[in-house]
Amino acid sequence: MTGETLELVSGILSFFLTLMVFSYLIGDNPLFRTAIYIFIGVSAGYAAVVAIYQVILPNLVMPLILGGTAERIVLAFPLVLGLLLLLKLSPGAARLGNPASAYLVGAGAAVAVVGAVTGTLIPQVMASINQFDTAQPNALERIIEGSIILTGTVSTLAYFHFGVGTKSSHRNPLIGVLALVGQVFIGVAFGVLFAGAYAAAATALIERVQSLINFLNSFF
Amino acid sequence: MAEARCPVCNTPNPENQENCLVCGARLRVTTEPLPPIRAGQEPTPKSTSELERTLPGWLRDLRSGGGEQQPSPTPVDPPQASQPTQSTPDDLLAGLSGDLFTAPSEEAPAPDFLSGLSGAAGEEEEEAPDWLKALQGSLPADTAPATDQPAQGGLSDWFQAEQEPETEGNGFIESLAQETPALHEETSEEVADWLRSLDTQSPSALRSATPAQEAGVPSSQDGESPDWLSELGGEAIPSAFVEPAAATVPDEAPPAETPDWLSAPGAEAETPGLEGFAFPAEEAPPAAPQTPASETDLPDWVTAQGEAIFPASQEPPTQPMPESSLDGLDWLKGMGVPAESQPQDPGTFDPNDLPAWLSTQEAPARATAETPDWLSGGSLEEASLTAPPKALAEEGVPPAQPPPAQAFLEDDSLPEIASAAEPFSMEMPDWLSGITPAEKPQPRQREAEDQGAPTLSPGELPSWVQSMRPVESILSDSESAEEEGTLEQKGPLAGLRNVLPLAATGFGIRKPPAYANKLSLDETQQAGASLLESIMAAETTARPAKALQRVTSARLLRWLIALVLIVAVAVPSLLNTQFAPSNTLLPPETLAAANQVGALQAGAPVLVVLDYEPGLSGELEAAAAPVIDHLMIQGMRLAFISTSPAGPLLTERLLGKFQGIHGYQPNQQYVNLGYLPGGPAGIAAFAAAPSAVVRYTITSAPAWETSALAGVSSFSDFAAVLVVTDSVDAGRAWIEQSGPALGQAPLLMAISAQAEPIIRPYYDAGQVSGLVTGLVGGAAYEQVIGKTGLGRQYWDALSASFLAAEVFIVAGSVWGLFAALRTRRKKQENDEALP
Repeated sequence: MTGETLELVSGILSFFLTLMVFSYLIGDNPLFRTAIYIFIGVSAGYAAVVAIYQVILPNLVMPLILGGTAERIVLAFPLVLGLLLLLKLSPGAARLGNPASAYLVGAGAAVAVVGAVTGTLIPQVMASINQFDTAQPNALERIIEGSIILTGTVSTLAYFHFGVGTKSSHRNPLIGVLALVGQVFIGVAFGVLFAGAYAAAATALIERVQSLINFLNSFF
Repeated sequence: MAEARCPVCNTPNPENQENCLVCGARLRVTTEPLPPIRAGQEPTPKSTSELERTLPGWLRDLRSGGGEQQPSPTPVDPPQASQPTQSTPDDLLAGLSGDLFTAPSEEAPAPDFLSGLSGAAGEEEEEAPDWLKALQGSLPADTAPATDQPAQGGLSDWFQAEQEPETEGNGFIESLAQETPALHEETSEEVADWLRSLDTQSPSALRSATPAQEAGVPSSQDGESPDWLSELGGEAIPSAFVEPAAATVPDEAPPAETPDWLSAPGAEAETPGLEGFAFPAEEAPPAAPQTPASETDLPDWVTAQGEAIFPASQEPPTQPMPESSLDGLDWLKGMGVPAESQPQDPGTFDPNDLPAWLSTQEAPARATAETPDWLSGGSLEEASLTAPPKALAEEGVPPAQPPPAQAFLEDDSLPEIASAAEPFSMEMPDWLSGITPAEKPQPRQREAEDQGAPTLSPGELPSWVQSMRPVESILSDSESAEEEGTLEQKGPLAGLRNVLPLAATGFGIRKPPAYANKLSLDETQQAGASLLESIMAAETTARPAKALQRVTSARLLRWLIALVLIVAVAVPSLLNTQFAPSNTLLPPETLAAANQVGALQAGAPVLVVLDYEPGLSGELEAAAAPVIDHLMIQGMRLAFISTSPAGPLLTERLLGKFQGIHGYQPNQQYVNLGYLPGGPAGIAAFAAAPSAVVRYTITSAPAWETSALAGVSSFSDFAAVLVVTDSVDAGRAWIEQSGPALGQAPLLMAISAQAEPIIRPYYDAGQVSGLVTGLVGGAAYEQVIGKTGLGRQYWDALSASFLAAEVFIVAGSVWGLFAALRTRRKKQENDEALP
């Protein structure tokens, strides 16, 4: 199969699959479901192939075969844990896979927490504090920007404060005002998120329409 | 109050209760003696041929032996003195209790104990029973066949026992035969006195007691007689024997001399020997009430036999029997039976009152040496035991007064009778017990019959089997048994005690208490119940299926928006227009990214992370393409890796667009490291030791030995890291995990527009050196590097789509504003309309 034929076949498939997905405009229909099922199946199959040929074989099997003793001993642990993890498929032996799952969850949580603290929380706090550093250039601009960030952060946190005082069933008026301001910030944030999602979707639509146009133009 | 405890559950029940109220078990033993046959009960024809198998062996032997000894039914010779007149003893007995006897007729049904046999040979209705055939065979001079009669007739052994002390033949008949001169000499000393008295009478005198013959009445109804009787019909019978006393008893005999128990209708018979042949009302000659029973009233078979013994040609006696003729009947005198008893009133005797079985007792009766065998047999006892009830009660006889017959039986001088009475009451043959009036079937028995189960009801058990069970003997002591423990009365444990102690004492089954079915509810409860009922009814009510979904305004609006957007996007793309001006104000993050790339040393290794899904490849390729193009322009060695399984394929797709432009070759200028598993942990591991995590390229080549990665041993050896992602999490993971390991190398990011609000703070915080966001950022980056790519190509379409979106937003806002105003106005109108 030549390159042009391959492009033609792939172009035809992509053209019809795109139309099938677009058919969702008239509602859920078999064409749309067929395209979705094809996409899911191809993705799963491709992921399995990638995992086998790019993860298991080069990182586990080949070292166990070709590696040294020390490497084999080290790889015995992931091998055993991997086999125990496969036992999760059997309801009767699923408990044997718990250690492997515990290891994965524990290690993942630890990595995520450490990364969030050291990579997000502390740097973001430090950045917000540095906004008020008058020694930095454009101090006024940064202070204003920092004030907006501070107001938005505090007001948004106040919006999610649902506690009340001991003497009254209503929350503190100051909290209420901050919550109202925080509501504005939340609305702006959602608007930005929507605009970004719309921009991403519009770009995807443009790319698909452009591909259809290009496919049709290829016949002329 | 007396209680009857259930033998199964030990529950006390009323005494008159037949079945247990709790478990339904029968409170009374089903094997108890069957009730005696009452006078007037109709015999129940029942096929007992099947029950013959249950007969005792001795009885079956007797039956079979009797059959073998049965002589051939040869014609009977004329008058045989030894001819047994089987009805005679019972006839005499009928004089004691005349209501028990009836005159057998042709229409009368067969004796009940023969009814079963008739069932076995039902097709031979005209044939006489075997014992009668034997009787026919015994009519000749040979008297031996008389011994066969009990067995042939199916009688029990007590008849046989009575027969043993005799010689062959019916002793009673033999005694009767002594009336004839020929047999007079053969009279033995064992003959009773009354029989001796009969001996003194001449045949002519006896015949004088048959006025019927005197009146010329036909001796027998030949047309109605069985064949065997017809054969006997030619034989003479001494009519004096048949009606000896009836003709001699005067009418004015004092009734006061008659005992009370004999004053019953049946007891008004004239003579002890002839009451049995009572005269039916329709057959008795009305003009001669004092006349003794004629031969027409006699049973046919008796008549026939009588004729055989006393030929009809002989003149009947014309004079009444002298009272002296009863001198020999001392035993009758002792019983208080007046010799000159009143003539029988035909109308007072009901033939139906005669039990059928009694009529059957006539045949085998015989006399013993000292006492007539008919007295020692069961006939008398049956008469004394069964006859009194109805008739005597009507006469006002006190029940405590023993009948003379019973007193007679209690006489010590008659031990044989007493001994003969025992088997009659206790050892009744099963074939007799089986033909007793059927009990009302019990429910369980009825169920078994309905189910067709071949069960044998308790009432049909052979008596000898019942006698073997210990229940009968123990039941009499039931009260003491209750004290000692529960006595099992059924099943294989019958007769055993304390076998099942749990059912007897501690865990007795009690009748469950009765609760009222009517509930007492107040209004609140009823309301709640009705509410619950309505809820349940609503839940169970089938809802009508929704009609086909019509095209609504929302659907039209959706189609309209889709159409507008497609047109807005397709037209610029189709026309390839560039009507929208490029963004003159470049984003600073984009400029920072371009500056960072531009500041990189040529040929330095750069790590490019492609973590986006194929669905957003159009946007990310538009955003990342100018950056990668810029890197290639700089001659950077590129190493591609992805935390998404689809990343390697997308990498090849993206590089395919630039390979023809920049001539990058795999493993030379770039290397595809493929998929990096593990998410954040994998990123952290890769950042810590990239060569240990990823060893091979996507082409299975040693990654760290390729030219693209030459000199790279750690993560910080990369000159820059470019993360292309559409996911906030993926971008943040790379920032968090690889940032500290990256050192001074810049971290550039090309992200989707939807991830910008989350990723941008990292740029503001300095964690990300440059940021290219979406198509806008790509287009801006193109402007920076002076290239025209996808950004510019999609820019008009994107601008049109943004314009369409703005229009929709404005239109929607206006529509919403008007809708709100209209709603408020309607609300105000409604408020004003309300009083």
